[in-house]
Amino acid sequence: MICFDEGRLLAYLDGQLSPRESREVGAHLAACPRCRDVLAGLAAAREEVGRLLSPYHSAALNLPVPRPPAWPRAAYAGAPKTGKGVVSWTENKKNPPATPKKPPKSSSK
Amino acid sequence: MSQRPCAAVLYKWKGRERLVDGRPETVRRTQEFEELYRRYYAQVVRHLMYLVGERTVAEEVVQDVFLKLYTTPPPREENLLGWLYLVGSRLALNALRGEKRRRQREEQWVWRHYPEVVPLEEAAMRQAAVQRVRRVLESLRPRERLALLLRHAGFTYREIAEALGVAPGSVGTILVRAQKSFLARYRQEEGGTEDDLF
Repeated sequence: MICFDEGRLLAYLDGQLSPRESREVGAHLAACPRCRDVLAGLAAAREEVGRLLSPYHSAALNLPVPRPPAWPRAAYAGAPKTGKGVVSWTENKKNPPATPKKPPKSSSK
Repeated sequence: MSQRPCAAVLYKWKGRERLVDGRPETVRRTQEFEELYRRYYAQVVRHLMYLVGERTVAEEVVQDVFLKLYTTPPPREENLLGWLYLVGSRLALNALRGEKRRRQREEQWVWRHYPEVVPLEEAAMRQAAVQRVRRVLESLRPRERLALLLRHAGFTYREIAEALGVAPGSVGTILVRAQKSFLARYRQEEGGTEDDLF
C-alpha cells in the first residue's frame, strides 16, 4: 500500500483534489491508520492557523482606505507599446466575447 | 501596420484620432481606465495590505497593479477584480522578496525588540493579537506566507499556484510547510514576548 504525501492529504482536506483523486485518497484513508493520523495532525494545524489568522484578516479587510491618489499622467506616457495595450473596458462588458466560456475544470463536479 | 499604437502614442496623434461618441478614442479609454482605478482601488489596497502587512508597501504595489491593467489588460473582462487580485498577489510576492532582504538588514532587530515603534497607523492593526500575527508572518518565507494568506482568504490551489508561479500540485506541500513554520514561529513569538518583559 502506497501512502499519500502530506501535501496531497492537505489538498484533500482543503477540497482541492479532483473528484477521482479525492475518492482515491478517501479509500486509502479508510484502510490506513497511519495516514489518518497524519491527516488529523494536518487538520489540527490548519484549524489553528485559520483561527490565528482570522483577526489579522478582518483587520486588513476593515482598513479604511482613503480615496485613491490621482492616477499619474506620467504613467500613460511610460506605457510600453504593446499591440493589446489598450482594451476598451466598457465595450468588452457590453459585448462579451463570442467564444463560449470553457467550463472550469475539476472542483465543481 | 499590424500593431495598434498604445494610448501614449495616440495622444500625439490627437488630430487624426478616431472619434468615438464624439470624443477622441484615447480620451474615452483613459476615462474608462480611471473609472476602474477609482472603483477597485480600495479593494486592491486591502488585499495587498493583507498580503504584505504594511500600508506603504501596499500603496506602492497598487500603483503597479493598475499600471499593469493599463499596459497589458486581461484579454477578457470576465472577472476583473479576480485578475487584479492575482496580479496584486504576484507583485506582492516580489515586493516581499525585496522587502524581506531590506528589512533583514535594517529593521528586524528593531521590530523584535521595540514592536511599538513599528509605524502602524490603523487601530485595528495595532491590536496585540494582530501585531503578533504580523510579526510571525514577517518571519516566514514570502512564498509560504502568501500561500497561507491566500488560502485563508478563500483562493483555490489553482489560483495560489498561479500567483506563486508554481505547479498546482506543489501548493499542498508548500502549505504543509507554511502551516508548520507559522505555528512554530508563533509559539516562539509567544515565548519571546514573555522573555522581553524581563
